[in-house]
Amino acid sequence: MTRRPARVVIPAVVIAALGAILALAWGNPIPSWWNFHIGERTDIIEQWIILHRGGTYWLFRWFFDPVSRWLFDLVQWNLNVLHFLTWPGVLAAVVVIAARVSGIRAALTAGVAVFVIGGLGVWDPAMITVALIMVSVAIVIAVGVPLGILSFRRPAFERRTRVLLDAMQVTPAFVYLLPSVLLFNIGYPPAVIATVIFALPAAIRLTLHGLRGVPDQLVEVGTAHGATDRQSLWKIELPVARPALLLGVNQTINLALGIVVIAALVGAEGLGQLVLAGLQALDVGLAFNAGLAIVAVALVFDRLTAGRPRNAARAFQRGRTPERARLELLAGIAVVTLAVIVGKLWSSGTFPTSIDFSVQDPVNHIVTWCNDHLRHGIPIVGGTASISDFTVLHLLDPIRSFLVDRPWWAIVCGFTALAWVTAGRRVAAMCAIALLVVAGMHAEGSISGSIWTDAMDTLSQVFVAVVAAMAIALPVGIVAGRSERFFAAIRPLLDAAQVMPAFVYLVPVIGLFNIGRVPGLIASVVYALPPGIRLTALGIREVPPETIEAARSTGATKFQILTKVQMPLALRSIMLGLNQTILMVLSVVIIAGLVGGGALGGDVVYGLAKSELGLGVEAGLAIVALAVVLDRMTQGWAAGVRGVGGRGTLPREVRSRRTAMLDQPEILDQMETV
Amino acid sequence: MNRSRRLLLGTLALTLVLAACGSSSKNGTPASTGGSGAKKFSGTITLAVNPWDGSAANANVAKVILEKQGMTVKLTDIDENAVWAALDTDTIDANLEVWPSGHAADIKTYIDTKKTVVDGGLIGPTGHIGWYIPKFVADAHPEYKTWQGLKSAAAANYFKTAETGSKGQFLLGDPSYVSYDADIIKNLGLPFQVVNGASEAALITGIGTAFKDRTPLLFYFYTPQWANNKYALVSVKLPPITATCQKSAADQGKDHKYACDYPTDHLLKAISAKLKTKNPNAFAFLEKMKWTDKDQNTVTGYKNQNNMTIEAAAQKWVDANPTVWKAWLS
Repeated sequence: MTRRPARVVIPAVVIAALGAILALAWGNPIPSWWNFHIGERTDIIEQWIILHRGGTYWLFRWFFDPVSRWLFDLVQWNLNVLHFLTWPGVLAAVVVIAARVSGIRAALTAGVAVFVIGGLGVWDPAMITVALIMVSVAIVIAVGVPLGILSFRRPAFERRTRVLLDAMQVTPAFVYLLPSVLLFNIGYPPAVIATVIFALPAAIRLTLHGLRGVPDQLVEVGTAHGATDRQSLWKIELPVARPALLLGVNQTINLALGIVVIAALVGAEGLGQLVLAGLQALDVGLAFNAGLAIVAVALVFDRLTAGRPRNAARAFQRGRTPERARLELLAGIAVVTLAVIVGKLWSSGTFPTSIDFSVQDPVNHIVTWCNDHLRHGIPIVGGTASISDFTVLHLLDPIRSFLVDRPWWAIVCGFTALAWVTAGRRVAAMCAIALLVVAGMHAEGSISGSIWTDAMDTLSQVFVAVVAAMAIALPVGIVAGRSERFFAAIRPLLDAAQVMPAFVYLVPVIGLFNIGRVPGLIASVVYALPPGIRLTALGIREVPPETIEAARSTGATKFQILTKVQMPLALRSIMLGLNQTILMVLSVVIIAGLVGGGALGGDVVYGLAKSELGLGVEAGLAIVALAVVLDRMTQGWAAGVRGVGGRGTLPREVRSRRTAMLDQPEILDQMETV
Repeated sequence: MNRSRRLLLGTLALTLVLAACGSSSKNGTPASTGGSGAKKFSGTITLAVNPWDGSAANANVAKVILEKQGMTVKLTDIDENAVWAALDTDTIDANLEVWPSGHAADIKTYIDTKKTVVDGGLIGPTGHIGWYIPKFVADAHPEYKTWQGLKSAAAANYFKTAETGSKGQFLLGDPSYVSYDADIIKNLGLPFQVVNGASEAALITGIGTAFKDRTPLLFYFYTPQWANNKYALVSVKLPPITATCQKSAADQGKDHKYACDYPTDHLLKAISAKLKTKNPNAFAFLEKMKWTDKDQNTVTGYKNQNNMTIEAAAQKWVDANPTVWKAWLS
């Protein structure tokens, strides 16, 4: 790594100058005139909305009120359809559609999952959730795909909206869910709106990505044959991009399910409400039961939209004649109709209570056992209580003190320098701006009295969580990369960990570890593990067999092959995993705020609970700023690393916080096959 | 390929169009009968259920009684902050248990300024917030039953945790409840530090852990709350309320001068102003509805000790206490 002097000198000079200006002219602490007054402005807007809503003011009368009514009716209509179908009808419809779209095996899995939802005893709330998801996803696609096409056709549009999309993905949904109640009333409408905000970026980006992946030659052939712009789009580009578009649908659904729990806070019923009720009554079993149903719903949707593996799809298309297709369609309709009739006749379509595999009681027993046996008295490590104390005293406190005790300008300069080294000039500039934005937040009532200090506290928690997550993800990922059987065994767990709402495991975690920063830390590690494991395994797997063969022939031991060949070549993929881990951890910072994690997450929770919207918004924006800094830094860093798994720079479409597998579709394809 | 694309788009369009059609057919609320001498109850109202037992008890008792009279009562589970926006637009007709100490701003905005929500009077039960310690702590260290006893290095040492270092821990719960604790600690010079549990669930889990491990804990708690029945808690005596504290409380503690016990919360009902014209009889009923701490505890007790659903518990109370609720109907 030899650098030309200029590459060191210029950054050093610029950053020293920045540091000097900030330190000497602005001083420490942050001067009070450096204040964007975002909090106060938000409060003013909120007051205005409160005083004008519900009345005859045009904005509400002719826009927000009709939109809310329309959204409510949409959900209600879907719900009515699901009720009309009855549970056997829903089961039949799912199986038929999954069989048509994704094949027989997928249809079986989906059918079992539908059955499980009923067996968990949560059929009615699950249908509400499904109706909410259907409406949200329909809107996201109806808006996202055209915007994706527009971004593809107009690069300037894409450039201008990029930061906005980033912000939509990273801003904690808490921040806009509760205020959206003021515009869209309570219940389904704000839930749909929040889901759309959260999931739209993924849909736009995957559309864009799919269109970008269409080979130029294909389009040129079309143009040479006299295809108009529109024809080219509809007949060539969109059909070719179809796998990416389907992936977009798939991801949108997963994102939507992720938000369904907090939608319950604004009176949207469904599975989320059960999870919250479980949390309120400290009934972990109840919450887990509903969480499991959410996982099952996700599985059903996944199988409905997954599509067939490429080879199977080709074989399927070949053996298909129009007559056969028509026959299949009729058969499908017949099966569903029959199922509906059966459903209507049999106990008026409610799921039989005799089929019951609710896990509520067993889970509660397990939780009690863990609390009784794991807190204390384990040889050597002591128990979760002492692990918790150790983490606070020897990991979190020193790092937090380090960050908080530095003058703020030193932190700004330090991060800017780090960004310059790892990711270049542009990222460094962005990093400096983002941190200066955080410095300009002065909302009253934050946990430590200053948003900046809380941001540093959050940063220290993120750091520990990321290190812990990677410390687990790396070895597990390496084993998974080398053993197909092991990977197959843990895959369902990884899937479940991503869709299972974090609220579900929060209560047992608080019981095991002491209230404070540690429970949030554990929750974020659990949540952030899957991408780290997946991408590490993927990287190891991607190393060409010839390379390994070559190493072996030179007499390298297994260990040498791992450390000298596989790991270095997998590094880029691992870096990608790190990037995703960081973003996932940041996205659950809010949840940590609900169990005593304090810091920015606590500010958001407190701001919204105490109707101090300004504080919530400022803390939310600070989280976005931190996410931008860490995301761009690790991305730039990853781009500079050689290795297999991910070509070129990291795709922009990657930046979905919830779905770490949302990498380049090629990566996803490969992951599906592993 | 083409087919399934068309299918997808078709379904999408169909969903949107059909729903649009659906929206044009207004689902009108049944008209009220109006004031015609003898009280006749009809129509549909929606009551809020906040996520705690007392709130569910009020709403379910009202539901049982009104449905007996021929009304339809819908219950909606909703956060206690979001409910104000719903009362404002009469999406929800009433919230029967508001803790005024936590909602001074909402009361000012919606009841005093905008007048879309009316103060429906007291529901009867009173809330009391305070500082608590487990009974086993009070038995071992009676000195910690008063604030003077907590003002010592020994107390700090006794209540300290990893999170609070050399100071004692004071555990706080649901952030939407009024809390002057940081100011009380500072103004009384107590060697304690507030740890924000940030949710009721976290707070109660913390209490449960303290009882299981027999570790000391000083915390913010309140009655009525179901955990009071499960755990033996002792309240800590704070200085009596002074004029300074009253003045501070009127301003939500923004002057940071609060240093007393918490005032008693007289829980009240918030009713959507439109209900008065929409369904005057239901409005009058909700305004008159008033019971006691004991009544409410009976209902929540049925639920928590006898493992009944809250609906069944409400039904049982209604069956047993006709004299109480008959008065609300007149």
